[in-house]
Amino acid sequence: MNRQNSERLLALAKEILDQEKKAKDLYEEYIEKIKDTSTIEVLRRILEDEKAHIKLASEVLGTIQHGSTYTRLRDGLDRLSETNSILISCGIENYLKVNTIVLKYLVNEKGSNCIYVAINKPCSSLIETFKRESIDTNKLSFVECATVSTESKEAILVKPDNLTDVTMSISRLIEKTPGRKFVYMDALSTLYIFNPGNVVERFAHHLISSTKLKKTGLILVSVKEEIEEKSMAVLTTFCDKKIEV
Amino acid sequence: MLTEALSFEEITISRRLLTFLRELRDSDMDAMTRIEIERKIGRMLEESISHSKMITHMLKKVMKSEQAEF
Repeated sequence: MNRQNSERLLALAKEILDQEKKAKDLYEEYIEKIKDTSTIEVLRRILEDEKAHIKLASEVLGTIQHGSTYTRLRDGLDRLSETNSILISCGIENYLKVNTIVLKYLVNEKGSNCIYVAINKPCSSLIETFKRESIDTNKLSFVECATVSTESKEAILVKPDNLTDVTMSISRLIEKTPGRKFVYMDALSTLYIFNPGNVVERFAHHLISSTKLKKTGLILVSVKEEIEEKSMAVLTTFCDKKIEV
Repeated sequence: MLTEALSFEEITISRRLLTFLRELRDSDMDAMTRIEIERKIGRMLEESISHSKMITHMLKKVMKSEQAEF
């Protein structure tokens, strides 16, 4: 789609989303003020529609911004529960887009807390990117698998070849994080650079079981270009669902 | 209150949805994505029109009984 068209549609979709949010606030206010019960009943029905419209408008906005990747991801993410694990297999060109879509949806829209395991990038640079994308970074806590940094204010630092430390740090943050939460590993496939394949797969298997026990959702991202087919097949059998983007 | 809600549904929301649909149809977006978006915006428009009808009906009732909501 040409840039001008896309920008115009994006602006209109944003306006629609804002108006739907305003409508929801208005109906909530009316329900508080009006006394007639039959009127309240009708207004409540309209209010439920307005809530659904906010969801629809934000889906439309995401689809215009990110194309069909967005719809596929969002449909898959709707099935993430407290005891579910999802494997997202993406090409390198979609990798950053996937991070943004997942966090915007699960953190901003659904209000979940996220334990972000950063393997590819230092979390200081991730935080900067997420803030630019208006992702609520207060709901994120980080385990950073750093190869260079020795200290960080924002994250627990561990070495990517010490998977026992990675597991323990994730467990510690799960315990510390209140409410609905999920672990997001970006990107599991990079661990194959630092560890033998069977060790990474044992680690993934353990992580899937332990997050299930702790009633915490798990999302593992794997970049297609970084992983062999055989390893991808193994990971797919471990996880409850796989999303290809 | 109800008159404000009616004007919001009929003028503000419905018009924007219609403008969006018109611009979407004129755009060169790929067919699959366009159909998906059209379906969602179409549903919002249908429900917004139905909200207008519901509010109009309530307004008529209120006018008859001269309640404060009008």
